[in-house]
Amino acid sequence: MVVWLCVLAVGAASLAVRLLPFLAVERFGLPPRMADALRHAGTGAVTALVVLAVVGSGAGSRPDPAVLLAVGVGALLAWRGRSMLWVVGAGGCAYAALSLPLA
Amino acid sequence: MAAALRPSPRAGRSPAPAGRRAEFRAGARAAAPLVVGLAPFALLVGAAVGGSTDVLAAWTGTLLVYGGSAQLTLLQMLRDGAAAWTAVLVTVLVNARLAVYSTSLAPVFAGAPLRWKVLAAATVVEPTWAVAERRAREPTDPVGARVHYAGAAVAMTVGWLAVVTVGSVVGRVDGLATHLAVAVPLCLLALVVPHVRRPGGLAAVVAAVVTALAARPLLPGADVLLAMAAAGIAGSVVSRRRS
Repeated sequence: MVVWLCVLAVGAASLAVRLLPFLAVERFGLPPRMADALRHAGTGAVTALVVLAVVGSGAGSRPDPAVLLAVGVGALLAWRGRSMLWVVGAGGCAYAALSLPLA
Repeated sequence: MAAALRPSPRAGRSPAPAGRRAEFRAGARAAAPLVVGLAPFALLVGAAVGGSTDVLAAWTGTLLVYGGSAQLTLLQMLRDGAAAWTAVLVTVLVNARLAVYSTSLAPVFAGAPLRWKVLAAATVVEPTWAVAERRAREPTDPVGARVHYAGAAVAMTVGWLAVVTVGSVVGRVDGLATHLAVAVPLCLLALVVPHVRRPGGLAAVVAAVVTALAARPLLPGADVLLAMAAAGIAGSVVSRRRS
């Protein structure tokens, strides 16, 4: 019962948090500068998630060299305009090449 | 506010059904690699669902909470015996960052019926926002952009729910999730790198990296929100100077 109540409460609150901006922008509009800042902010959040996935979210955690290599390979391919499947595939291969012999 | 983004005169006009279907399919295709790349994370969430004291409620949370990190936070806190209100509050804070994505996406849905806005709000997360953001750079009518988003949201919801369900059944396989989890940063990386080419994009990404690294030991839990704020400020300042 507690899990149900928590899920329902979080679901309702999360929907409200996400719906309010839609209604507010409809009512007041969105200045172009604000729209630009929001695009950068959204990418900033995704960037932070990448950083935390690489270095670990714990205070004392250290980055895994195989993950660092995978992300380096993936970043290079993404920079050269390769698709996401290429980035994930080649990065995954680089990770496997370094981590599996160590295991 | 004069230059504020408002619904265009074509906002209420629908494209032809064939065009709508093509937009929907294109959105679903754009989201498909993200579903594959995020599958390991969905397996982790599924394992947490399977380990919950109420599996059905935890599984339903996949749709209601609609955010992997938030759902994982909620289930872990409840499993660890945290007070229910604390777990709810922390989880809502984890999902609070999504308000920024909603605000960014809102101009696309300006002038749309309320049910469209509710569906968009219920499904806006990093991958669906990224698909919509990429689509918004192309010249299109708002209805086409909405249908494109709907295709991405449906693909993401169906795919994510399927993998979470599999994860809840098979549970955590030792070592497998750790190895597969490398796909998550790679998938997100493919979303970030194209942004670097945009005006102010490099400044935004560098600011986010530095802030996340600096905030991680000092303010764990607030690192993503701080990185988000730093990127927004740095990116908009640099792009304004260039323009």
